[in-house]
Amino acid sequence: MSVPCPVAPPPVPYRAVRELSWYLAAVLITTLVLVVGLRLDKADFHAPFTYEYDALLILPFVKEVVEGGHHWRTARLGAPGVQDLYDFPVVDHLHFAVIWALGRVFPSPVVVFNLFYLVTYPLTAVTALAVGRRYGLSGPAAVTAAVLYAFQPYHYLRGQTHYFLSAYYMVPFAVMVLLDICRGRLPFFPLRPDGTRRFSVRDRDTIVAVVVGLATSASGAYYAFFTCALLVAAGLYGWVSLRSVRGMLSAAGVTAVVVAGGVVNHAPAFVYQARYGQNSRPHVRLAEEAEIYGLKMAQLLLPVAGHNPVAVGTTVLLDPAALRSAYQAPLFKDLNETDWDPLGLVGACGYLGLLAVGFLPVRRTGTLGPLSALTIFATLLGTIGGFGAMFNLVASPQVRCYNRLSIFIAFAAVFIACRAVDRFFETRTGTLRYFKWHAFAVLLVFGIWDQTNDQWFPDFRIPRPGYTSAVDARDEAADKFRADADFFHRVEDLLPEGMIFTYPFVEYPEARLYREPGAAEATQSYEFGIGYLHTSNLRFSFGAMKGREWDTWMRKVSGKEPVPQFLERITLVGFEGLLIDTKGINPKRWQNLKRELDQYLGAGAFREGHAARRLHFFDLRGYRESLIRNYGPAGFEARAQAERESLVVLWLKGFTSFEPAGYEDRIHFAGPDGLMVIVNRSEVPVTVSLRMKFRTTFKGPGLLRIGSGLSSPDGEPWADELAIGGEEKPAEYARELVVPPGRHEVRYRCTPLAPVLPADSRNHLFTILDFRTR
Amino acid sequence: MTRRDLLRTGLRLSGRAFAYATSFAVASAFLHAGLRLERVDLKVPIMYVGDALLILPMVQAQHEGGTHWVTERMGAPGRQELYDFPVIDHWHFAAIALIDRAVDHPVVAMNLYYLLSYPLAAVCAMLAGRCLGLSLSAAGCLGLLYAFLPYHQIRSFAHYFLSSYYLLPLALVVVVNVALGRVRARRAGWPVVVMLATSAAGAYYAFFVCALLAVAGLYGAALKRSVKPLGWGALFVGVTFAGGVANHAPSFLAPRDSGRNTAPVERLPEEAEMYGMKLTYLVLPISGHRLTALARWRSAHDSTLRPVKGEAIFGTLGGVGVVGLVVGVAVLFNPRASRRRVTRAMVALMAAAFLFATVGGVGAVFNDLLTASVRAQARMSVVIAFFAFWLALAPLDRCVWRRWYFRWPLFTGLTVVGLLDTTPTDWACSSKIDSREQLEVQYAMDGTFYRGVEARLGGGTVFQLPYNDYPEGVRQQGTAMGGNDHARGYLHTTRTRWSFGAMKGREVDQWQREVAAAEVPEMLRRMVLRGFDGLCVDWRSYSPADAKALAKSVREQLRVENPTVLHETGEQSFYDLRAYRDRLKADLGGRYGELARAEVEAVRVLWFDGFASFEPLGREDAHRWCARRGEAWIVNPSGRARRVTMTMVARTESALPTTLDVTGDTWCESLPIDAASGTHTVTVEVPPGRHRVGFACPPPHDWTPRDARRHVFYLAEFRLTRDE
Repeated sequence: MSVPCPVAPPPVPYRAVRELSWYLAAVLITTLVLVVGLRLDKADFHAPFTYEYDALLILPFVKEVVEGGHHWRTARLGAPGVQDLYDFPVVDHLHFAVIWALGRVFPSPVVVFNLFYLVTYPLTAVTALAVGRRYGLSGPAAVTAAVLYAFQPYHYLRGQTHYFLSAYYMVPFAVMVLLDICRGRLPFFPLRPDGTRRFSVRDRDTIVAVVVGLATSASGAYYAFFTCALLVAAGLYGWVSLRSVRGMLSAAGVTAVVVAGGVVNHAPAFVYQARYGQNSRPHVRLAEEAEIYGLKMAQLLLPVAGHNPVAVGTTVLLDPAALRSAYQAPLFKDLNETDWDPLGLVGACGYLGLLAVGFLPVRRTGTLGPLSALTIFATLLGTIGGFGAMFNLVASPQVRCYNRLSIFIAFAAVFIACRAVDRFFETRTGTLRYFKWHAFAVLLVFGIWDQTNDQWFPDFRIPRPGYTSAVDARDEAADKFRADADFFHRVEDLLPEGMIFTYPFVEYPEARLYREPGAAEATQSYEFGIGYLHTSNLRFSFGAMKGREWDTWMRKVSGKEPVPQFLERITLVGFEGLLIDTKGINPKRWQNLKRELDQYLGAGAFREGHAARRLHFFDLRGYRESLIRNYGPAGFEARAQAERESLVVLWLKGFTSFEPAGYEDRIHFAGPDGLMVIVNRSEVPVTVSLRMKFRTTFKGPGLLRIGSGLSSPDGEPWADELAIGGEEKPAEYARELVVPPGRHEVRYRCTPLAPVLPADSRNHLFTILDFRTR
Repeated sequence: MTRRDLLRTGLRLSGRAFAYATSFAVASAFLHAGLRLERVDLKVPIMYVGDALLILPMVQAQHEGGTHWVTERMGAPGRQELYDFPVIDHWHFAAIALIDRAVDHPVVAMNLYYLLSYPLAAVCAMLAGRCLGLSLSAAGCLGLLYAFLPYHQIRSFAHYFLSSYYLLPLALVVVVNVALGRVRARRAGWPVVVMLATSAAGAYYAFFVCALLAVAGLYGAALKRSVKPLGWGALFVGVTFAGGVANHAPSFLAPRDSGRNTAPVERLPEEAEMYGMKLTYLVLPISGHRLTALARWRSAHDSTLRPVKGEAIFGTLGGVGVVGLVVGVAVLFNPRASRRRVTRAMVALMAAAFLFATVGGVGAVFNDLLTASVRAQARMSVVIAFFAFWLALAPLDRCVWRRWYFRWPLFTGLTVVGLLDTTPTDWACSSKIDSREQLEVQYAMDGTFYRGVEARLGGGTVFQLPYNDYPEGVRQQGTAMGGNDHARGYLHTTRTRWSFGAMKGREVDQWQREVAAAEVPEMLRRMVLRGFDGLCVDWRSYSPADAKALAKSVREQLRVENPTVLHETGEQSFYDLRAYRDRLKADLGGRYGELARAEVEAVRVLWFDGFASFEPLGREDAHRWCARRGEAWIVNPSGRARRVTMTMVARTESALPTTLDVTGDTWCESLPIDAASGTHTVTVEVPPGRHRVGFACPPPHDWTPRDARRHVFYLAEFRLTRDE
C-alpha cells in the first residue's frame, strides 16, 4: 500500500528552474569574485596574465591549437626540423578541445589562453555543484561548496603556470563515480528491480561513468592516474560493503575505460615511438622524486601563503600568513609545488573531520563513510614515503607529484564541511533553521576571504609593504609581453621568413635554468618560446625534442664548437639569424663572444637588441653570402648537404648523460638495457668507425651483450658479448660498420656476473665512455 | 577454594611463569648467538662512538657521585650540570644503578642493561599481548619479534634509552583499554604505575603515549557514548605529565637566578619533517637482508638521491609487521568491520600514530604551532610495530585457538622466520667478532693514553682541543672526530678533570670558546691562569697543515720537543703545562695572582632564551639574532660592583621603525631601531651576582617570519669593555 506524500512535490518545470538558478548563482558568484578579486575590468586580455616559467610551455601549444588545430607538431619550433611532442606527450585533449572551441570565437591565442584559465573557475563550480546536488546537498550548501572548491588556493597558486592542473573541473565528476561505486550504484552492474545485478552497458550510470572516465583520461595524466588509484580503493570498498565482487569489477571496468582513454590519447606518441624508437630522455623521472613532491598534511591544514590578516585599521590582530611563512622556511626546506595545496579553514575542518570519522567508531551514514575511506586512502597514497613512493619504486616513477592528490581531498573536505552545516540546519526544528541561508552566506564570504591570499581584492586588502597585488603582477607581465612583441616584430620586419638559431642552447622540454658561473641572471627553460609567440613566419631552433636528431646536432654545435665553426655550421643548415640571450652567460664570456661575432660576421650583423630581456639579434645573411663566395655555390651546397645529412647517433631509452651540452659522449650511463639508434640521413650507405669504452658502474664484472642489424664492411653482423669490468681505464672497443640509409637500432644489455645492490632507483649498471665516430 | 583448585591455579601460574621464563631465555639465547657474546669483554662498551659517548659519562657520573645530573670531573674549570639539558630517564638510571651495585663497574652495568633490554622487551611485550587477548604462544611470538625489531638493533647503544622500550607495550595496553572503555576505578592502580614508569623512561615514549591516550579517549567516548573514557585518558595523561614534571624536578629546582638557557635544547619545528616517519621504511626489508632480491629492493630505495631520510630508516617492521599493516589498512577501509572489537581500536590507534608521525603530518603541525621539543616523530614506528604485530598475530591466533598441537609449531615457525627476516646477514657471523675486536683494541689504546695522562698529572685539570660544544656537538665536516669523543678522557680516568662537557651557553662554555679561538700564546696563558695543568689535543679535527702549525706553536710556547704523552695511534697528544705555568709565574711575579683573579672574575653577558648566533667559534658576538623577546644575563662573579661598557649595533631588517625595550635592574632603556640603526653604547654598574636583562621588540608592520624561529632583530658587533 502506498503512503500518500504529505506535501506534493513541486512541478517539474519549477524544479528545473530552481535547479538552474543554483547553477546560475554559482556561475555569477564565481564570476563576481573573479572580476572583483582580480579586477578583470582593468585587464588586457591580449597579454597573458602569467608570462614566465611553464606558462611559456603552454602558450605555444595554445597558439598552435588555435592556429593549426592540434598541439602535437609545431612547424616553427625545433628548426631546422619541426617540434614533435610525441616523446613528451601532453594528453589533455579535453582542455585542448575547449581551447580550440574558444579559438573559433576569439582568434587571438593569448585571449583564448586567458579566457580558458578564467573559464575553469565557473566550470569547476558548476561540476562541483552538480555532484554536490547529486549527493544531497541543499542549494545554498551546494553553491557554497562549489564556489569554495573553485577558489581553492591550488587553483590560483598554480594559475597559468600549471595551466592544465588548474583545470580540475573534471575532478568532481571523478569523485562522483568513486562515490557511486562505494555506495552501490555500480557502473556496468546496475541494480535491477528484482535486486540482482547483471553486466550492462546501457544504463544511465554506466554511460555517465564511461563518459566521465573518457573525459578524465583526456584531462591530464595526473588526474587520470589518481582516479584509477582511487578506483581501486573504491572498488574494494564497494566489494566489502555490498558483499559482491561486482563492486570491484565495476571499479575495474571504469579503470579500464580510463586506461583505454589514456591509450587513445597517447596513440600519436605510441605510433611515433614505434616508428622512431622509444626516447625516454624528455620524461626521465626518478622514483626518489615522489618524496620531494609528496603530499604533506601540514601543507593542507595551514593557511595559504600571504593570507589576509585580521586587523582593525592598521593594527593586525591575527596574521595567519605568519604561521605559513614560519612553516615554509626556505632555510630548512626545499620549497616546491607542495606549498600550493592549502585547503583553507573550511576544507581543513572537513579534512580533519573525515580523518576522525575514519578512525572513530561513529556512524558513517550516506557519503560520510566512502568519503572518509577515500580521503584516508588518498592521504596514505600521497604522503611522503607513502604508497605512492612505493609504487614509484616498484612500478613506474612517471607520476611523482603526489601532492596533487590534494585537489581530490579538497573536494571531499569542502563537501563534507558544507554537508555538516547543512545537516545541522536540517535537523533543527526551531527558528534556527531559518538562518540556513545566512549561515551559508557567511561561510561563503569567510571561505573566500580565507582561501584567497593578499594578492586578491586589491581594493579591499590591507596593504603590506613589499607585496604586489595580482593586478600589479598582471600589468608587469603585460608590459613585458608588449615589449617582447615590439622587439620580435622588428626582427620579423628585418627577416620576414627564415630560421633563427637561439643561443645558448636550452634543451626542450624541462630544462634547468641556464646560468653560467658568474652570470647574474638566468635564462628560463621556455624563455626562447616567446619568439614563436610574437611572430608569424619565423622559425626558431629552440624546441627540438631532447634526444632526437636536431637536438643532438644543436648540442654539439652550441656546446662544443669554436665560434667560426659554430657560425659556419648553423649557416650551412640554413639559419639566417642568431638570437642570443645573454642573461645566463658569464659577462666576460659574452664580451669575448661578442667580439668574435663582430669579427666573423662583420660589425653590421648586430641588428636588434632588447635591453630588458638582454636579447641580441644578429643577421647571418651577409655571412652566408661570404661563405658562398668563399666556397662557390656548388661547394657551399655540397657542404650544406653534408651538414644536413651527417650521421647522427641517438642515445634513447635507458641512456642518460650528465655531461654538459655537446660533451655527452664522454660518458653515457645505462641501466640493464640501453637503446642506441644510428641514423644515416643520406641516401647512400656510409661506412663508419665506432670507438668506445665500457665500464660497469659497480665493482665487479658484467656481461655486456650488443645486438644490432648492422654489419661490418666484410658482411659480419655486429653482435657481441663482452666481459666488462669496473676498472679505471677500460680497453677501447672499436668497430667499423656499414650504415645503410635510415634508422638502425643497437641494443645493449648488461648482466652483472655477481649480485649487485643498486645505489639508487635508476639501477645504472654500465657506462659507455669516450664514444667517437669517424 | 579447595586444594585441588589451589593446585590447579598454582600449576597454571607456574606454567605461565615458565612460558615467560622461556621467552626470556630464548631472547637471551638468540641475542647471545647473534652478537657472539661468548667473545665479548663486558668491560668494554658495546659501542664507543657518537651518542654512546654521551650516555657513558652519565652512567659513570652516577657510579662516582650517585647522580647523572652533576659530573664534577667534566666541564672544567667548572663542573658539568645537566639542568639545561635534562635527561629524565630515571627508570633506566635506577636499573643501571642496581646492576652497577652488583658488578661495581659502570661499563659492565651499562652493557648488561642494554643486553637485558632485549629479553625485557620480549617479556613485557608478551605480557601486553596476553593482556590484549593473545594466547601464550602468540604472545611469545609477539614478544620475541618485538624485542628484535631493527629499531632496537640499529639504535643499539647509540640511542641507548630509546633501545630500552620494554615499558612501552605495557603503556599501550593502558591506551587500548582506555579506547575500549575497559578501565575501572578499582583496577586503575597498575595503569597509574605504568604511566609513572613511562614518564621516567624517556620523554619521547611518554609523549607518544599521551598523544595516543588523547585519541584513545576520543575513541572510547565515541564507542561508549560516554565521557568516561575521555576522563580516564585525561587522567592518565595527567599522571604521565605529573611524572614528567617530577622527573624534571632537578632542572626546575635549579637556582632561579641561573636563567633559562635554551641553547642546549634548541629544536626547530622544521626538524619534525627531517625526522618524520615514512611508510615505505616501515614496509621495506632491512638493509642487507638475507634474500638478495629484498636486499636489492632496499638498496635501490636507500638512494642518495632520496631527500632527507633521518631516523625513518630505523623503522623497518619486517614481514610479520607488514602483514599487520596490511590487516590494519584492510580493517580501516572495511565499511563492515565491527566497531566494538579490539582490532578496530588497535587499527584506529595505529592509523592515528601514523598520521601523527608521517612527514608533514599532524606532528609537524603540532611542532609548528605548539612546541618543537619532540621532533623525531619517526620513533613512533616502535609503537606502530606493536600494533602491527598484534594485528598480524591475532587473526592467526583466533584461527588456531583450540588447536594447541597446531598453534605452538605455527607460532614457533613464525618466530624463527620473523627473527631471520629482521636480523641482518652479519647476525651471528664472525664479522661481528672482527668489529668487536677492533673496538676493544681502540678502547685499550685510549685507556693506556688517558691513564698515562693521569699518571703524569696525578689528577689535575686538562683542557681539551679542539673545542666541542656540549651537548649535541656537531661533528666537524671532513674529520674523523665525533662530537663526544673528548668524553673518553673522563671515562678512562678517575681523578683528572676535563674541560669537555661545559654546558652550552653558560659562563664556562663561553670562556672555553674564547680561549679555544685565541692565538696559541694567549690561549695557553689563559688556560694556566684558570688553573689548567695540561692540554690534550685530538689532531683528527685539524687539517694536516693546521695540525702542524698548532703543534709547532704549542711546542715553541711550552719549550718542549715532544708531547708529554702520545696516543699509540698518534691521533692525540698531551702536553704538560705545569712547567710553563711556573715560568709564567716567575715572569709575572705578583701580577700573576691579579691576572688569575681577573680571569676568574670577568663580567660576562650570557645570551639565553630567544638569542641565537650562527657565527663561527669565538666570533659569536659579531652577530646574534633574537626573536620578539630575548633574555640575557649579566654575571659579575666578583664580590664587588663593576662598571662595564657595552657597545653594539641593534637592528631589524625593516626600514620601518620599532622599539627595542631593554629591562633589568642593571640596564633599562628603550632604543628606537630599524634596518640602519647606528652603534649604541651603554655603560652600566653591575652589582655582584647575576642580573637578568629582558629584551622585547615588537616586530615592524612589514615583518614576516622567515622560519619558525621568528627572528625579529639582531645585535651585531657586541663588545663588552670592563673597567679594569
